[in-house]
This record gives sequence, C-alpha cells and structure tokens, in this order.
Amino acid sequence: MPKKLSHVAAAAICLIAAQANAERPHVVRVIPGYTCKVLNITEAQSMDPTFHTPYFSQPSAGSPVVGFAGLEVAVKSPLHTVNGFDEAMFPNGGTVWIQANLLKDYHSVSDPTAKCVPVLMSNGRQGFDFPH
Amino acid sequence: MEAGKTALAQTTSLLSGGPPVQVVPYVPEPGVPGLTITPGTANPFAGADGSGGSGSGGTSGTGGGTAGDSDALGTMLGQSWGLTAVSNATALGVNPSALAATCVVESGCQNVAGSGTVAGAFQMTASTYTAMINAALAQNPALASQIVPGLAGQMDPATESIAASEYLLQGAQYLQANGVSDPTVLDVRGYYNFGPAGGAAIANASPDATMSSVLYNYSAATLASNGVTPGETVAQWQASVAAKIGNASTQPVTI
Repeated sequence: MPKKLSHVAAAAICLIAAQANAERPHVVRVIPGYTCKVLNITEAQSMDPTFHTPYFSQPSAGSPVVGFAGLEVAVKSPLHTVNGFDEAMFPNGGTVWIQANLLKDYHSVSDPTAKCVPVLMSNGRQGFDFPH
Repeated sequence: MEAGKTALAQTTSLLSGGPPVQVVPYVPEPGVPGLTITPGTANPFAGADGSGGSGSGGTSGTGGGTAGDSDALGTMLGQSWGLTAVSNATALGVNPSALAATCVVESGCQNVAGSGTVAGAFQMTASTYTAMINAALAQNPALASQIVPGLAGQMDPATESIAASEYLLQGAQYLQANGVSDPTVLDVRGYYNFGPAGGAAIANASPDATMSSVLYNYSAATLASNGVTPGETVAQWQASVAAKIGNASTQPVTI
C-alpha cells in the first residue's frame, strides 16, 4: 500500500510539473540593438524588500517613475546615455531610463561562464537568455 | 484591502513608450514607493511570433488562475491559527491560498526555528518581518489589536501571517511594476525567496537558464540554502516549487 501511494503522489507531482511546463513561454529570438547590464548591488541589497531601483520615463530623476528593475536590464547598444541615464527597454517593449551609475557589466559569481542576452519571449515580452 | 484591489485592476494590454495604462491607487501602499505610469503606444512585439502577446505574467506565463480553495489552504486550516491567518490575508487583500502556499513550502505550516534570524511558520528574517509587520499595520491599523508585539511576533504564526501577507502583496505589486500583469503564487515565490530584483529577474528569464546565471550576484552557498541545486534551471526550480505548492501555484496573489 505505501508503495502504491507513493506512485500516486509521484504521478500528481509529474502532472503539476507538466502543467507548469506547458504554460511557460520560451525564447523566440535575440533582440538586436540591446545588450545586457546588471544592477550593481550586493546579495544583501537584492534580498532587502525595501531596496527598489526605479525606471524613469525620461532621462531625469524628476521624471515619473514607471517601474522597477530586475537584476538584469536591457540597455540600448551602443549605449545611449543622456544626463547620466541609460536608455533601456521595459519588459513590455517600452522605452525607460535608468541611472547609468547603478549598472555594471554582466558576470555571474556562481556561473562564471554564463552570458546574458536580451530576448523576445513567446508571450510577447522582453526577457533574458543566459547561454554558455 | 483596497490597495490590493486597485493593483489587480491593472490592464494587461502591451504598450511601448511606457508601461500599461494603470488605475491610480487611491490608498497608498506603505513601504512601496509611489508610481506614476505613463501610457504608451502599441507594443511592437505583440504578435511577433504569432502569439499576439497576451501579456501573461512572469516566466510561469499563466497570470491566470482563480483565487480560492487549494490543497495548501487545507493544510494551513489544519493548524490552530489557520483561520486567523486566512482572515489576516483577506484583510490585506491577499489570496489566502497564496499565504497558505507560503507556509506549506517554508515549514509545512509548522512553527519552527530557522537558520540565522529566520523563524516561524513563514520563515521570515527578522528584518523582513519587522519591515512587513510595520507596513501591514500602517495599511490596516485594525490588525494591531491582535498581534504579538515586537520580534516575539515572528514566532506567533497568526502574527507572522500578517507580515507574510504584506510581503506577498508587495511582491505582487513589485512584479506588476516590472511588467508582470497578474502575478501568480509561483511568480511571487521568486520574490519571497530572492527579494524584489531577484524575483523580477526570475519572472523575466528564459526557463532554460540556470538559476545561478539569473541570480548573478548570489553565492553558491546562498543559492544552496534556498534549495537551489547546482545547474538547476528556472523551469526545474519552478516545477519543484509548483510540486510543493500544488494547485495553488497558478492562482493570483491578490484578491
């Protein structure tokens, strides 16, 4: 009986995992004209729930905040810097601006051979791929 | 409660030149900076691959379920404090199944100690607990009458459920501010485990990417302490979390 129950549980877990996989978007293509930068923040800052890095609608800290950045940022390539702000792409494809001094080149401390590339996902959103 | 409702009302249409049109909250959310969303024009990516750009949320890409009953909720309601936790979540505009999924994954809904300052049924760090309980009470002062004050509240599951609900609410709002229109319980798990920027990064990553490449500034030790195995992909991590959460994983976080 215990063995039978464990098979049932395993089947349920596989079903849930399969459903999750079926609904997950995939990479369609690389987005030309953009490159990947990352927020220049520590692990502790990443975990801090009050630490938010804003996207602005214009290259000015006085312009409206239109969103917050994830760890990776898709910036215009070659860099388009105005007034200390880099032009970047919001995940919905829109143009936003982020303070240039908050960004640095991508390098993963625990996956050092990985690269970061802005991509178009199958759900129509801008995402990131990390090829090796 | 109303703040959560206003966040849920955000449109899913995709725009360029700015994020989607947003309903302006009339109750400010304590602890979360104010946002002014500037509407733009039609997203140039929509339909680029024939999908039409549905605006579904996060890497899990569903944004879809309905808030309600779940296996996780049954587990939490099996605890003496479960019903109070459901009431607390609802008072803050959070789907009780999202709260229940959190305690199921974190502790099996058992009031246990953790490593460092992590403690309680929802396994929050002391600093996050303090920030979130203060934000929750600022949002809904009526909850103050039923909490265990100070850090002792971290080990009172009913009190910690208030802080955990607030954290889930802020997680959903943060992902919305990163373009995820209707964050699911699975989407916000990344936020709960890896913080605001890490949660947003997971939501926008290729499912084939390794967790260690997406969370570029996390040490291998930190990833391991959060249950991430070497070489584990985003899809594998999400599948493992979804298997623990069960049928709550695709439900929305806010109600």
